[in-house]
Amino acid sequence: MKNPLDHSALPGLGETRRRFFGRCADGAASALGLSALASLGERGTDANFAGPHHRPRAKQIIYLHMEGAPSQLDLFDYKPELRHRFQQDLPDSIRQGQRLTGMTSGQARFPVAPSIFRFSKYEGEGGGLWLSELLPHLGEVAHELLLVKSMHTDAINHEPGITFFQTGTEQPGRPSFGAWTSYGLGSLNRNLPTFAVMITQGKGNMQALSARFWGAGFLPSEHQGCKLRVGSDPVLFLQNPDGVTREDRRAFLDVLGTLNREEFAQSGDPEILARLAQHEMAYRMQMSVPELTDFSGESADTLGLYGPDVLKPGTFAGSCLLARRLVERGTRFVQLYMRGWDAHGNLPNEIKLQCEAVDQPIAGLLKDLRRRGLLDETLVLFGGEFGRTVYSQGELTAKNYGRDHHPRCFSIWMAGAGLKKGMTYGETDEFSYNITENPVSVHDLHATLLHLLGIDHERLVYRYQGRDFRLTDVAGRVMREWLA
Amino acid sequence: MTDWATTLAAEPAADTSPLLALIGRLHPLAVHAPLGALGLLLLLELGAKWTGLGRRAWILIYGFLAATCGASLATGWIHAGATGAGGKILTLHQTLAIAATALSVVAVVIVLTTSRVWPRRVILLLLAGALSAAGHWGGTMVHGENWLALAPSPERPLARESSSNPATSPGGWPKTIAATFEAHCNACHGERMQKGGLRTDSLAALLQGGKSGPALVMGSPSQSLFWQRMELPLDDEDHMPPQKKPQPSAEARAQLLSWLTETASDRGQAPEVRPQPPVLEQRGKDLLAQLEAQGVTVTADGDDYALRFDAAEVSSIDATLASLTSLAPWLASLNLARTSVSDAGLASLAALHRLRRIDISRTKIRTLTPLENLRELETLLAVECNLPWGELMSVLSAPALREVFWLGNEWSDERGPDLARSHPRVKIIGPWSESRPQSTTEPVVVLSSQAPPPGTDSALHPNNQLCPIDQKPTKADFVLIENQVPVAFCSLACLRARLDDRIRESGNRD
Repeated sequence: MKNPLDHSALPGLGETRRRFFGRCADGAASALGLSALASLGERGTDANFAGPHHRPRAKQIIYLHMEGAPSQLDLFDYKPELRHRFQQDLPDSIRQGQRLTGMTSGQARFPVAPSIFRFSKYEGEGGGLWLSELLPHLGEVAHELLLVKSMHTDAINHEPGITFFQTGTEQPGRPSFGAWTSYGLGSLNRNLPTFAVMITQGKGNMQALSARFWGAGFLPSEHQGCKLRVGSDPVLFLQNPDGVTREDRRAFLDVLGTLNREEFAQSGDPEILARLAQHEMAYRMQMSVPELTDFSGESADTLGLYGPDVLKPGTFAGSCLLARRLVERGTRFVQLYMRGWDAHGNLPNEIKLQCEAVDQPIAGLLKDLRRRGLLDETLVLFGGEFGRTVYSQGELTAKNYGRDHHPRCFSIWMAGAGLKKGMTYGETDEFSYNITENPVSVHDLHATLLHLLGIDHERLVYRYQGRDFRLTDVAGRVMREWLA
Repeated sequence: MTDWATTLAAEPAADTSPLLALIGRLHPLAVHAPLGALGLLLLLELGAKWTGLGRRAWILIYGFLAATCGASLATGWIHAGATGAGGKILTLHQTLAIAATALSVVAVVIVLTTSRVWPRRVILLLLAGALSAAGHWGGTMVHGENWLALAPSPERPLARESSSNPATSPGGWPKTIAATFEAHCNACHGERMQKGGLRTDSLAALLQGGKSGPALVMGSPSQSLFWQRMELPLDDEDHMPPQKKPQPSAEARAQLLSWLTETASDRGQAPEVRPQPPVLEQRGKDLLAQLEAQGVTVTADGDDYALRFDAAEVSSIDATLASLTSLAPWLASLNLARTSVSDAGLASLAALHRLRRIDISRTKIRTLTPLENLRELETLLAVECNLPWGELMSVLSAPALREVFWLGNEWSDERGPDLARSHPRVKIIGPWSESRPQSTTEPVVVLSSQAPPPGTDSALHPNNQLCPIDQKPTKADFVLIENQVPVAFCSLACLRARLDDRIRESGNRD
């Protein structure tokens, strides 16, 4: 696995380098023909295909990222005893002098705000789990879930927090998880993006989402996420202009490809190859995307699983159905962002609206994947970038409260290929403030997910600026306790 | 005697004739004859004056000792060759046996040439030493190291400790696994002795295996010889470790199994061993490359190949499927979902006898008959094909079938349960098979800044029948603790209203 720009691997820079790149282009053009260039992003060329290192248990991932950080206290981390501490001050022994965000550090007191929502215990083969009344539909598939209550992160604000979850580091600029997956495993369907992204607007307080969350960083650009618009037209300008036939388009791309390859032979810039690959992908998507986004073949029974909003453009339900259709057709990594979980105030009302938007679609997605045999090969991950505080931000009343950012413990869940089911992992203290058992870092999560995909996280590396980079940087432990 | 039996039953190597192997197996029997003769001779030499044996008697007895030594050496030599044993201990055992035999011959020569008694007695003492030592190492090979110790030796720490990663031993395998091999296997399959030509003290050695081939196939317990042997009944002659030896604990076995299957996917608990197909030859590789160029996604899992036809641009899927016959030994999975495959194309799958997973979802397939005889077919995905009921009946006769995804096909609520009952091995998945988990909702809502009164921790028993806010009948679900007394309300709204009042009051007080 070599970075084409890694000159140290080449004995001489001038002549040799030119010959090296020339060989790439000539070989591709003459021996394999034009179509092979399009498959540069696939496993056809070793240069862009790193894994798998062992037998995969999961082939695909659907990552449901809840932007803004949902409250673990109101959804997953059941703390009944907190009801007796309503309005009491958070003990110093629990906070242990932790620095708070500027949003609450000035508060005179930190009154404990127990969740006003009731919880239910769902049985499962791994001992079961508790879920809030806000997630009744998810309760119907609780036996499929592995709930992790002991996640922790380093970041306390959204941008670095999401960047950490997406790229394995808080600093911007590294490749995202989906890009690493595309780089490591390649495509299963050359007509569709390997890494697809969809964003749904939330009902609560929203924060910005940057396109670099699904960027390829220093990996070749064809591995970056392809953002599908969730409106009525997922990919703009798919239609050829009037008077331009598909054959014309082909001829146009062929000529452009020849010119680009000539330029590549001279400059050796791998971004030219990435651009070529993307042209070809766009040409293929002209055919594949209309079929992908046509929901008319879905039975009423299936649509019903995702809830009443499934056919409304821009809803989370519609994105979930599209996610299933993408996975069914071989997209490796589908990332859904649901915005609006950042409830600093008015949390009970905001979280209710948020849950109404995601609960049935997610449960429907899991049921649909299961009954189509896709959940055996697909892993679904649900989680935000951190958790929320047990103390109220702003005024605490019997009906209302807010919660600030909390990185020291929060909950995520997973379901599907290779994982234990109906189980709770990890434990927090009675305030859901600190982890008391089995902490899990973001690196551990990444290492485990890569393991399930058949990738050894220590071996999936890319050399850039003289250093081998990994998604898990220099950390990460495969959570064998989670593996079925 | 059991150890003898084990040795006698040891499997001959393929290149040894059965008769020779049998002679070899008599080695443990043969070695006791010279030992007997040696004991008798030592006794006779001690009482030589009293018995007054003649020279001919001495010749006969010394001759017998030499002959039995020779016989032991010969049978031992054959036995070592036939079982493929090796290692330091065997070499030591052999050297000592040769020395003893040589000494016995020297003794016979002395008896034949001189009537002086001391030379032969010196030789006899040397011979006794050599024979005892040879016997000891022989015993070590049969019974394992420290066979003379009264109790089995405690688990020794691993020879080499890895400081960088405490969970992994230097061989790149988990420490617990290495420790199990160390405790139960390495004595006979280790540095000092390699029964069956096998060493179990490193991952590489296990993968390389012994005379019977690789002992370990990562990710496949059913193909790992060492695990197969461990799975045999305890009284089976091939069971490992041998019956008389300490057996690994259930926990150690579970750890071994999970380590073995760690990288396995859905191969699951297939009881039969799937023999390794021959290596994919160039012709097959060319065909795969050609398919890839046509947009078929090829993924490899060891020697098992999976093909996806989602993006295939072939003139006819049916014709392409017919051309796959030469890949039959390597094709494990075929995804034909949403393609234009027809019944004629599906018919050619009957020749792809190693298919384990087939996806024909959303195709125009009308009959599943060609799949009935696929002996290894485990999973069939036939979602939304509008297939008639009879096709489900017919495909259920595939012998290895474990699950059928049957959503969007004909289903009969009356006959369905009977069919499922009559094929308990197969899971038929459709909308009807959804199971909901049992759930229990937390019983009581209590919201208070006070701890509940002692003794009422789990169940609170308010005394009021009417809600203090609305004067309606109360519900046990909504309870607030006021001054250590539980008070019930008719609704959550009333409870919260009361709580808000109290917060306001306390605020005013402050």
